[in-house]
Amino acid sequence: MKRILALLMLAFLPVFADTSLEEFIQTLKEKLPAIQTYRGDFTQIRHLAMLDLDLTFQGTLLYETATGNLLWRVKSPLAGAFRIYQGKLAQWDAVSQKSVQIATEKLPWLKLLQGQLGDWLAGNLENLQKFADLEKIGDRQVRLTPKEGILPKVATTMELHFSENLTRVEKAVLHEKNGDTLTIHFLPPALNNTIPPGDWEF
Amino acid sequence: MFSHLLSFFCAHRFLVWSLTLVLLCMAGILVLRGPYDTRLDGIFSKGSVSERAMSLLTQSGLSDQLILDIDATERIAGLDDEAILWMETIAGNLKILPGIQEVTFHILPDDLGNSLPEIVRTLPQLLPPPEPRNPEEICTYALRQLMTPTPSVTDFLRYDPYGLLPPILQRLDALRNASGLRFDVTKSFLCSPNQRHALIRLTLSVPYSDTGRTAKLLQEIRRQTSCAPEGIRAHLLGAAVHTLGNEQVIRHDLKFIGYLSPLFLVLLFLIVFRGDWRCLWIPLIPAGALILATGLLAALSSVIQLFVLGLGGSILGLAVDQGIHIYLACQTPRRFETLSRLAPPLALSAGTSIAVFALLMALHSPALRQLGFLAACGLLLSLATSFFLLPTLLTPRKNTAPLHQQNLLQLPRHAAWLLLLLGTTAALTLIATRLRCDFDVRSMDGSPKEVWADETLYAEIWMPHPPPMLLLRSPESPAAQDLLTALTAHPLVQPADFWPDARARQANLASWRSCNLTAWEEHLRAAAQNFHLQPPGKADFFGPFFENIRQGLANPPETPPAWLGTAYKQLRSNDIAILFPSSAEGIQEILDSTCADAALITPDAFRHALLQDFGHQLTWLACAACVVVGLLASLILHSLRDTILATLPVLATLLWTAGILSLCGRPVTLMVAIAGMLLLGLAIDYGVFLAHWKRENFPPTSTIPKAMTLSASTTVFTAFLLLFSQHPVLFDIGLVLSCGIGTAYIFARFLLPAILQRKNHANVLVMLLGITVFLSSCTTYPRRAEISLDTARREIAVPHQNVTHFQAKVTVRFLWIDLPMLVAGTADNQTRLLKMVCLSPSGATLLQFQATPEEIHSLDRAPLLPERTQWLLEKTALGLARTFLDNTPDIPDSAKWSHGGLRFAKGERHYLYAGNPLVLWQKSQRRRSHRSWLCKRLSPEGNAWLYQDFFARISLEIQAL
Repeated sequence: MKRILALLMLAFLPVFADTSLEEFIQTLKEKLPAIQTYRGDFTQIRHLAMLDLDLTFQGTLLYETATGNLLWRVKSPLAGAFRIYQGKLAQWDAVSQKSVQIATEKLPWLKLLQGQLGDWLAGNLENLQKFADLEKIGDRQVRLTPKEGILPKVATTMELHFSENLTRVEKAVLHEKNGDTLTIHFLPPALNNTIPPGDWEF
Repeated sequence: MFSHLLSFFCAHRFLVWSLTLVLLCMAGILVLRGPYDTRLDGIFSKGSVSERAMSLLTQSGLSDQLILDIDATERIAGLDDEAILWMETIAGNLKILPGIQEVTFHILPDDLGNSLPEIVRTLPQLLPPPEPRNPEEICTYALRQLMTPTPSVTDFLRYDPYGLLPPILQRLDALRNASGLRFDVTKSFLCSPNQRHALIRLTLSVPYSDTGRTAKLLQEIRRQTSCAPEGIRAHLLGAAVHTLGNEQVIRHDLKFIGYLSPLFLVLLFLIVFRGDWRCLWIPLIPAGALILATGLLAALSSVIQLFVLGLGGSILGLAVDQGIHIYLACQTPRRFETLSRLAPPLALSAGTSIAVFALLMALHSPALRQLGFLAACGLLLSLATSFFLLPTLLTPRKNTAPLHQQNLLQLPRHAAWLLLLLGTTAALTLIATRLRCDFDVRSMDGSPKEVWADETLYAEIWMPHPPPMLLLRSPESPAAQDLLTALTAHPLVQPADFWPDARARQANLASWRSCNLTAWEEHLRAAAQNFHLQPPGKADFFGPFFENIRQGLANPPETPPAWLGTAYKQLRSNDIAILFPSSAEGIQEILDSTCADAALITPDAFRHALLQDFGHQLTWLACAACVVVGLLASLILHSLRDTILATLPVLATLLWTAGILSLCGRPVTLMVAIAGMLLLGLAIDYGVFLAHWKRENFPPTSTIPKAMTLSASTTVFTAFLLLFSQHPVLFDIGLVLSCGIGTAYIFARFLLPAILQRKNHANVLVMLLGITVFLSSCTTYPRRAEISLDTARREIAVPHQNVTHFQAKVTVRFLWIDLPMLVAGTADNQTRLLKMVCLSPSGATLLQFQATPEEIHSLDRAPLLPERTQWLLEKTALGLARTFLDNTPDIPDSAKWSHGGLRFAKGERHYLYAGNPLVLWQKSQRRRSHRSWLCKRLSPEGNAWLYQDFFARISLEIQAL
């Protein structure tokens, strides 16, 4: 009898799983706050598969959803930053104190990042569903398999891990096609505060 | 003498005709053997700039390419996965079609990361080794790249620590910018920026001139692409499409003309000659002459240009005129005597035409030389056979009234008709001054409008600004290397950017082999360890770079990497390299100064090349033709007055044709110019017969009027039919011939005889000439009722600024040269100094000057302009100064109100002010009795001017902006 019940449960599991993703999306929609501005610290870990090497970077992220302005400032192990501000991309080196402008067309990935970062940080799975297939892989984790644009060219899958209370994204993992992994841990951010123009300066 | 000869031929007609038939058969065999060339290349002069350009274009393989433009504008999903899959399937299917050599859909490998090893292995051939760099800087840079959240950056850092790849990949960007092709760089296939169009390139193995095989191939391609997903259409573009389109149009036109023209001729002859079937010999004899002439041409030439046959055939169709005169003469009681009297004018009319066509053989164009030979030889044979053979077939018909006594048309005597014709001549002369020249080769392309519509769409989506292109044969040759050295100051994209020549590759390899790669590797390894990029016991972080470089040095690849290979293949075909300069300015002058086999391809360059190649040749030819015709006429007519009379219809023909062309907005194209030359030789016939008719004192029994009418009818009708053709070449020829021959006929048959039969005919002719000259320089201006001088002074005393700034579009016209410019400058009316900068349409500075209306203070010519243009530029500068300065002089008390405008002179300067309020309409400078220059306003709005320097024969069309 128990065996029959277990089999019945397993048979209906896909239905429950599908429903579970939809429910999860709905739950996130209710719990996750909308993001107009984002200021938070991060830890980025690059795992180079060929060398079995982890490179860790720590820094601060500033982001403005409406304008797409983005400042990625790294503090350790060496200081530097890149910024997309008013449509222009610049990279800054703390040692030489020089910044270099780069055409965004030459780095389509960064243009994509600028466009989609808001959805990633806000955990807006409804929007992300347009670009990727979603799959719930844990209580608070979702796997995205990109299906169009440039994302499929550079990544096989992406994962978003949410905090316990489902109020923020605490980790994003990008599995690259060459086997490398890019993991970004997001510490609790300050949301929706006005970012003064001076904060965008290098 | 002629009578005796005619009697001899009539007496031995059997022998004569037998010989003729034998010759015809022999010629027929030669004609069938050919061979024939259907391309238009033969029209260009050997060794000319345009011939070189056409030859290079053909051999570069560009003309063997077809473009399949996949249009998904109406597809809701655009170029989605289904569309891409279909395109990949189509590309695969087309690849196996016979006649297709190569199909290019994906232009780049999908993933650059996977191509990195291959690219790095070719680096030692592509580039010299880098300068030694601080290994710590390299590691710092690597870390800086790794700290950004950018995927796939690790491989680039490991394979390219010295940053050698970005300049190479930037060359692809440079090619994309230089080629003018707009596409989405993130796609591996050619996708338009709006993501609604894609391109598939097909390279054919069938020459585009082989219309039979090409037609079948295109049909198959269209069939295969017809089963596209919903909302997708495919457009085919390329030289083959144009060739087939032209052939279809010409075939359609010739079918129409081919049926109607002989039908009309037969009906006309039968009606006019009252059912006498022997009149059908009239067109048959020139047809036979054409076969004989073509046979002779085939015997003397290695290949015959097919379009020459078509053109030559139509000219010989005009030789029915001779047969008409001879037929009518044969109807008179003493036919041999009549024919003998007719011999000199017949000989002269045919001789002048033959002379003009023979002059075509002096041109450097093989096709035109063949045309000259065919037409001259054919006319000579037609004259001989018509004069000696036709009478053998014609004996006067009994019991019929002589045909020559029936006048088809009465001579209109009413003065109103004469004035109407004179007035029309004067008006057309005036309009003819606006005729422009445009030797654009596209004017000879009669492709259907669907083809042009597809090309317009292609240009709009993919290439709104076609770039200049330089074709260079044997780029490794010393002459080509000299050219490339001379072009060093001109940025350009060339095949060597993607795969250097063998010598450069060997030099790069030798440089790399002399480097101490081991030391570099060790230093980098140590630095990587310090920066924690080198885990112990694992592969070197920068190891992939050195590994592949060493492989590339040990076994250098013989072909470029796939990422660069597609670009290289597009730029290098057979022995010809395609280079893209950033600008065409100054390139032609550099080409002319070297002996490299190269050509600059831009729409303007080709047009100028054709103008340069044909312009002075045709001008020389026209002058020579006028001299030859005049000499021949005077030799046979033995009278200066009759010679002038014979040339009057020709003059009228040229004026009317030029005026009608200008009225219809048609420019003088290459075909119009050639047809004009032919017209010269044909129109003189009417003048010659007019002179002969006048010598007989215009007897009512003369055969000449009827013969003129019939010959004009046949010519004008055939040419008129060409006006219904869709092909611009046939249309232009039809327009020129129908207007020209019609005019020559009207003048020779009606107007001039009507004037000559008046007692004061000489005065009338002088008056006609005077009216024409006067009206050609007339301008209308707005009339106004007379006002006082004080009021006039107030009206023209505009706020008189010391300096006036302006911009204008200026076209400098000198002989056949048109030089468009944009000018900007300041006119200081106090110092009477004009400072101006003149730019070419593309923005390059041509000239800067400071000038007064009398002299030039300074003039700087752009280096790209040759020294021989200095004179022209000086005249241009003076013309602009004269136009923009001295426009508001003080009105003297002697100024007179005349015909609604205020006229006065200040020194040698004459002014006319008109309109309400008064503005300057015209000013000129007179020296003694003639004007040295004239400047007149062309538009009431006041922003268009025409300046003419009569001595230098330069005119400027000025449109203020």
